[in-house]
Amino acid sequence: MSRIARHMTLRRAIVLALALALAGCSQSSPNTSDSSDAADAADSTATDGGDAGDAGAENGDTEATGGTLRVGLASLSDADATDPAEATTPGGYVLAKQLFDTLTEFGPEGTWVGRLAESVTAGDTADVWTVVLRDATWHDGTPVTSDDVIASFKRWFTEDLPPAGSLPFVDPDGIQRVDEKTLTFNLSYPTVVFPEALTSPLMAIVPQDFDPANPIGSGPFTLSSNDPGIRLTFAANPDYWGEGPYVDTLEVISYADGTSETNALSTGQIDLAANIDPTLIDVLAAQSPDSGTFAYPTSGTLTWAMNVEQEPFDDVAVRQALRLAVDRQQIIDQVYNGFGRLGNDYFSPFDPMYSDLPQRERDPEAAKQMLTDAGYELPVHVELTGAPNQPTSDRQNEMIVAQAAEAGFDITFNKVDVATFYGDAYGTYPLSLSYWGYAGIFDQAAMTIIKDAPWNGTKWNDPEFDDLYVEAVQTLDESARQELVEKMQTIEYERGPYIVPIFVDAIIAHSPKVSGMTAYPNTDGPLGYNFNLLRLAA
Amino acid sequence: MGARFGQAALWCARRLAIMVGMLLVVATIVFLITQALPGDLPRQILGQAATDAQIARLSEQMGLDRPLIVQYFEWLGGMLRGDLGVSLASGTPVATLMGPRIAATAFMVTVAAAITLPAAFALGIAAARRPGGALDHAISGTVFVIMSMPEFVIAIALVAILATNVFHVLPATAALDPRIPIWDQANLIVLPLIAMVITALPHLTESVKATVREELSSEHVRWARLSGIPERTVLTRYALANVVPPSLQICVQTVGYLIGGTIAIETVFSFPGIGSGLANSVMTRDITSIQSIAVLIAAVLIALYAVADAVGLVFTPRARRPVGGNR
Repeated sequence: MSRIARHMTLRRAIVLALALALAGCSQSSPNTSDSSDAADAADSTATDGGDAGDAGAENGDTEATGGTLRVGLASLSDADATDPAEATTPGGYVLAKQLFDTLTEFGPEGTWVGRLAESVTAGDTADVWTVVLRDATWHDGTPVTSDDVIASFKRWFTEDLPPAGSLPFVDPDGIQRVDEKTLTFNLSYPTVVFPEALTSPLMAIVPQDFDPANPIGSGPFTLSSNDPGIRLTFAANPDYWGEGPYVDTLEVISYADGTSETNALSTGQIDLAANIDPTLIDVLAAQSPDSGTFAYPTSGTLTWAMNVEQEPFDDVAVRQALRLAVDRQQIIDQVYNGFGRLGNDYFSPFDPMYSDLPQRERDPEAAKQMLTDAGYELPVHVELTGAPNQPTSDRQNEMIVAQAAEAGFDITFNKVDVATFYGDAYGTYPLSLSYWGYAGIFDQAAMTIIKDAPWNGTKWNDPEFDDLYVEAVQTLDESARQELVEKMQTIEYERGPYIVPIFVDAIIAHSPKVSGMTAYPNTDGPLGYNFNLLRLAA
Repeated sequence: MGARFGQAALWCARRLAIMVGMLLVVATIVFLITQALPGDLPRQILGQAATDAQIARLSEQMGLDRPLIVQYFEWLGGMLRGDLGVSLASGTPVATLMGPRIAATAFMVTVAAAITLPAAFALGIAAARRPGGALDHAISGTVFVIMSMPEFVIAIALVAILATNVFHVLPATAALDPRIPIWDQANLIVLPLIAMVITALPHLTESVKATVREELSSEHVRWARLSGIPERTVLTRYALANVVPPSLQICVQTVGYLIGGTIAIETVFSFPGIGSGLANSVMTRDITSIQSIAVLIAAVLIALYAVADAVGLVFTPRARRPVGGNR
């Protein structure tokens, strides 16, 4: 396994070298953009997030319908679940998004909007919420009703499915049917997180008699065939309540990695390469100058988690020193080929309440001083555990090793494979790189840093922060909530357990025939896996 | 006559017993190694978001909480009945899940072997007949270059040259549609086939060349030549007959190499075969799939070696006699 993983990294280097060397042999070399151009291009799509769809639409026929859209994805797996509540893999997310609908979703603006729900509104306090459903039908033609929603929620709790762990405030017995399309949720405690927490594809609504072997949903596509780990084929649901789908057939084809996807795109075997590695953009430009790339900033991040129960990160001075050691811009330039945004050690840049604290700059001398003042003898030894959970993970980890060496740290990078990383030792690493984000400020905090958070990998526990959180999620007045959020993020900025160095851009490469590209900055996956919006010119 | 038949039967029985023994040893080693892999499947399935209670519940559902020895004998019993078990990751039988992958790889390996074996013999014999000739040097040089490169480098170079960068004549990947017969997607498999043949050919050619050359300089061939027997007959009747048995072993080795090498090549081309299936199973820690595929591959190789032994026997009667037997 590790041998294969090593090959992958070596492969990338060889592919790059070969592609760039051979570019001279083909006619495409003049179009090979350098990395700064590529980054500028990303910036231009980035600044007009709302119009991002138009950027893609320029390339193709905006009226086109029909055809078979072939999407390359790295990678499908035998473990891809047809039950959305058990989706943990990219393939599982693809299935969940095509076959089903969630009550809410993060829209192209990055804020939550209704999906299967026409509206989600709080009562006088944040512990009562009313959900009104749209007129939607299941794939078998029967209507989606309040009873289906209640059954979906109850199923998570009685079967102890993953969504149950993310919804501590939902009391399955507190959900009341008002009429066929209306429900009231009486929460265990008041929280404004409620509508945001329902955006995860895992929380897709399924019919009362749901059978994962024959997954009937209300989503834009139906499942035609499922070859686990190889290919998923979907047919358009002509009665879909929402936009699209514009193509007749959607094929999602498994590729080993972004390199294979890029190759498949350049030779016309697929129409869209789902999320390619930023360094492959130059390769693609050399191989296939006609193809387009669509990049947009997201709230996704590869963040270093500092375990506060382990030495030396139990000491806030060490955490702050390591944050100062990181050169964020260098990571964006060298690891992400320019396709990333600066992070400032707290999450959720697309949340309207994201705070504007002074950008932390690299200062290795100050870092060393902090360590010495705190009584440490330099260098401070740290073990970093990392796995290639994202294509850029290993390179980002290698970068902090080098950067921190100049700031009084001696970091040993313990490289493991993904299954080992998430194995029994997960949660005990002093320093590790995690893939997080795609959530609002409160939901991110609820999942990772408040008291009793289900996935508190850093073991951080700050009563002052917790009190602010509890107060903020009960505060319906937005300006009052904003003030509390700024205090929360200031605490994270001054003594939190994460280094959030950058936010990654989503990068989609596509043939000129594809249009309808739309940014979903707060949703994991290419275009938030909303393939129903895509059109394919003949 | 009866004695000779009895001896042959005894030989076969002994061989069979050895094969089964080897397979059992392989199966046990595979089982133990997969158990020792760090990281477990329930955690993989439930993801980083899983709680300990959810993991424990899933482990129980999968039967992973039972004693190791119980799991071992249950699995082994299934394998002996030809039951590959149920994939833990997907809940479907391994045979259903891997069936199309096994068929795809078997097809590729068969075609690659059908090209590689005759080509290697033709080239090897031709080179051996003129030691120091142009062909001899060309083969030795190529062997050196190709053997020093990992399979995936050759595969990537082929993609760059024939698909993406220089000439745009072939599709770059081989992501077959499992619902369409493989021969109807033949253009997809040309590049991986070329890669497989290129990586396997030099080694076998070099071996054939060396064996034939050794044979051609042997005493009995010299005697045959001195007796005025035509060179063609010397080659076919005297030299090649003795080349076949050792070469058969190398042929099986080559087939084994093709099966093993497909893991790297399948990954480069995203070919949905047994190699990428195995790699996926390792990533998800789907231990029943890993175990069953590994043992299946071992069984195929052991069977091929047995066939090679048996065929070799036909050519070398000496080997049929018991060791230290009468002359």
